[in-house]
Amino acid sequence: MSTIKGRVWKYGDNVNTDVIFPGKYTYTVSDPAEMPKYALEDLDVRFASKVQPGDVIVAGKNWGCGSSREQAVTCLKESGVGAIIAESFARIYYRNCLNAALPALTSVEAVRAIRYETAKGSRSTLGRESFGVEKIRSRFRPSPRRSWGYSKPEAWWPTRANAFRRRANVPDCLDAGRWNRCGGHASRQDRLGPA
Amino acid sequence: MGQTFAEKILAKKAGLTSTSPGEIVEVAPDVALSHDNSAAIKAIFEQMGGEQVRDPEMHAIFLDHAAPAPTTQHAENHRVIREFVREQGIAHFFDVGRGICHQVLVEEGLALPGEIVLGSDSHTPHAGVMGAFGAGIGRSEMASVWALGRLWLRVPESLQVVVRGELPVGVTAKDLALHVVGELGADGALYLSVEWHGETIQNFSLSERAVLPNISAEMGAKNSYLLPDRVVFNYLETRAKRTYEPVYPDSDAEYSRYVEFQAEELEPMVACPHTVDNVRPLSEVAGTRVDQAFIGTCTNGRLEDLASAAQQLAGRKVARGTRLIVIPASSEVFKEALDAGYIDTFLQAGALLQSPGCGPCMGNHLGVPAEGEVTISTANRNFRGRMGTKESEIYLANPAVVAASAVAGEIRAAADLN
Repeated sequence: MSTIKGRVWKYGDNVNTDVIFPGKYTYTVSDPAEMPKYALEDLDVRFASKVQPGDVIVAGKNWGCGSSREQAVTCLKESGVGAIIAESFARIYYRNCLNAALPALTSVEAVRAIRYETAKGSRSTLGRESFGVEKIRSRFRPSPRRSWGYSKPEAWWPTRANAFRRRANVPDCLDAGRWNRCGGHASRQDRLGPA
Repeated sequence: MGQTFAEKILAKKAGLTSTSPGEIVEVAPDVALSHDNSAAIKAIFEQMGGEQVRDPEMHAIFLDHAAPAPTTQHAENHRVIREFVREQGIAHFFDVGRGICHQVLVEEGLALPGEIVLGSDSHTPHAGVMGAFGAGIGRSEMASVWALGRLWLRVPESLQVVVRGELPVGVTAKDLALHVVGELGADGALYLSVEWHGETIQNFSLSERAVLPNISAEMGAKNSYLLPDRVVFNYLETRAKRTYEPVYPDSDAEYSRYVEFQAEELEPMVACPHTVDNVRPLSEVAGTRVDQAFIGTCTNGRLEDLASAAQQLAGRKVARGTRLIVIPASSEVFKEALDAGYIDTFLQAGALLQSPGCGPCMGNHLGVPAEGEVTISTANRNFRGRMGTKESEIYLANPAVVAASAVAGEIRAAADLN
């Protein structure tokens, strides 16, 4: 089982892509390596300078709502963020995570269990099918069988995920193409799947 | 069992007899739109090993987000896109000045009933005004669509919104849209296909209708659909670029949620800083000082919007210390507004006019606020920093209220309504 270890950054509901990666940079900052400088600029001024590889973002409902801009995922991926756990994700943001091979996990109970005070600076572990934060454990339900069967060799375009994976050392199972088959996205509470 | 619009259209396009929520299907969009982000998409496309766009006829590219270019960097971005369009033979290209992608897609007869529009822009659900399935996607996904001509989609559950009755005088489709977002919340339609039903909707003009799918993005909708009728067909008569076949939901379709609103009960609404679902009646925020008023965007930059603003501004002046920026959503709207005398009214009132496009909506140019300033706008987003300045506030309202507020120098109800 693969695990991601890191400190937790805890945020609230409906965090939009304008505060994750401001729109004024969308056509002036084009190099992914430059993007971490602006990550969460209008949400949390500490983040860009303090984030460490493997840190985990824990958020409330509807993380990544608003604009479709992919830099809102890329800037976190390039910052070394290991995973985002949220009560729910905005749909385009979720798809962008998938294509960037940035693990985006939905778990209401995990998010509610991680309080900011106790989670600040704490270490969380995040596995392929289970994760533990302090005393909380949760199993992710695999995706519907149908979506597994869907996969055709050419349908999963060899995305940048591979390049990202090599760079960030993301486990194989989090490869964009195989992410659904790893069963990462659905929690027991969240009947509605993403995308 | 009956099917919703989303289930039906995704089945049709995927070559299946039916689909159900949660199913993953693969479809070829009838139109794929991108804008100033096309240069970034090109970079991903090339990184993926893409050489030739599979179906150049499928793609529509618009330069609207920072148009005309405010800096050398933006200009370089546009240059790369123009070259790509030429090299690849992209069939539908609209250079700076033509207008905002969602509006121009409709004007050009490229968003058609019963079709699928995928766009690397979150307001792509806008195309639902024509009875199309419009959904936003990311840049990497658009690069994939360029390469493969298709994409996977999850069949969404559906939310039926029914609106009955007639709106009171001075209450617009924008107020209805803000009210619904306020009631349902920023994730009220997350992953859902929204269907707007009811006589209130069908009695709206096309321009009024467009506000609803446009703002549906602000409650997380995957797509947002209005039933295409005579109003749509008439509009398309001289514009449609292809023959089309409307798709309608079955009367016994199953919806995951149903909500109903009574039009008579509504009043002018304002979305307050810093979220679109922070909606309050206008009366509660009246008197708030405004430094800048902005009329335009894909939400409310059409001819009827400019007409209602001009009605407020006729014979009046923008308040001293307040700026009014007017940006028609497209060159077609600009021309019609000029012919109708609205542009003259704006200039006489002391407003400033800018070329068609997104303007300052997402903080690129043409009216970025200073720190501490307050903007009232007809746009669809008021997130912190949205217009380029973190320490500033954005209120969202209908065009008449924005114009009246510009005159008053503070948030104010529209005057002389009849």
